[in-house]
Amino acid sequence: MNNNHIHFNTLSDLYDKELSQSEREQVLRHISECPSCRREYNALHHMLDSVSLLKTVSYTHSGMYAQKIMSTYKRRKIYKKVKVYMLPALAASFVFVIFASIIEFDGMQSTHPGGLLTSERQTTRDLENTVSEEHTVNMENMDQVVQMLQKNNARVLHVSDNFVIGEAPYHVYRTMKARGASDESRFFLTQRRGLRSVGSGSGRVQRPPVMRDQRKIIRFKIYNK
Amino acid sequence: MTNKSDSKIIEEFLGGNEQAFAHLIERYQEKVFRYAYASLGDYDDAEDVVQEVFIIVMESLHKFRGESKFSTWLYSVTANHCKNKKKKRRRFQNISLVRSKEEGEIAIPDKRQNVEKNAILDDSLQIVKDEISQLPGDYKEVLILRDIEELTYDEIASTLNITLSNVKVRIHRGREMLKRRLSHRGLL
Repeated sequence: MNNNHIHFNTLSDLYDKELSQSEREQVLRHISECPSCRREYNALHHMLDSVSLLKTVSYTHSGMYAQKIMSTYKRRKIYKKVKVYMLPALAASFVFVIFASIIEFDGMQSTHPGGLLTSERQTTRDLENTVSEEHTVNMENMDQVVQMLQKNNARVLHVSDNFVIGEAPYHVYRTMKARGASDESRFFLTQRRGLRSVGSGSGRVQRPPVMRDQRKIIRFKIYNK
Repeated sequence: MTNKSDSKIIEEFLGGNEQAFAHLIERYQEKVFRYAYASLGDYDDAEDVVQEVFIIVMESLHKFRGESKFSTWLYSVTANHCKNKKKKRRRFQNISLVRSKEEGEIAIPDKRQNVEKNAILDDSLQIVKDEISQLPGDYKEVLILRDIEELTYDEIASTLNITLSNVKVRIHRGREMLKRRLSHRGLL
């Protein structure tokens, strides 16, 4: 009670039935006798009745929540599964592929020391020692050879006045050779005649050491005629 | 809508029948939307909250120990989510578009301003709704939970993770503030 009137908090508690039985009886008795407190309580009652009416208002939300939510939930669940199981599996496969490539690469080097090379760290001397094929080309200068190689997306590894060392996937290399023999006869014109294998001394083209896989890289050396 | 109890539906959901949860969504979507809309005052945000809250609830339903009612737990997730939403919104409000005085204010009418189906919302009810939305957040949320959603003091305390005495204080102050505002508007 405040100055013989009931405090707002007590009226609020009365509305919420939060008072004890004795408190409730006391407050009700006072309200019945005090017009000011009665007016105050009636106003509070009226206000809270209006507020509770807001519950009856139904909202025009877009609805269909259940379907949307369920499908989103399922999507997220799948995504989580992918994250939990698939990513490690992908990582493991990636590691396996890398590992397998390393093993195969080592094997190739050990069985065919003069064969395919992909390492860029080798010196020019090493490269010269390990070319798999050598060609003689009837070119005016080595710039033209380099241009021809670049045109065919072959990698030029070393250029000197007398020869060019290049590297290309086997199918590209084969195409270049084929072209040299037919359309662009200036290129590789002397291949058929001047082509010789390292160490073999024969005029025949030495088949690349390992050609099971057409995507493998072959290194070649082209001499200026 | 099914007559199954909340706990029965939860049991089914946890048992692998995910579709059972759709019944809970249908049962509570209106309540969650109403709370979110009253709390945030923005239709789109309220819709987002409804969807996000139910997904959060589904994903963490296995953690629900059943110590409180499901609805209380749901309100508590909703209340937290609304708070986070408000925080995010405040962060973005700092970026203001500078507009010259000559340009003035351009009113962009939002056709969804009146999202209440009962378009003939009684004028006085509209005023009550407006005044509630103007209350400070702490008072507003307890008034919504107590006087609109009719939660008990205990439920409000566990929903908002505050003490019982704190709930009482907020209810008293919120109601007093609302009463003063409505008196100013000539409604009381």
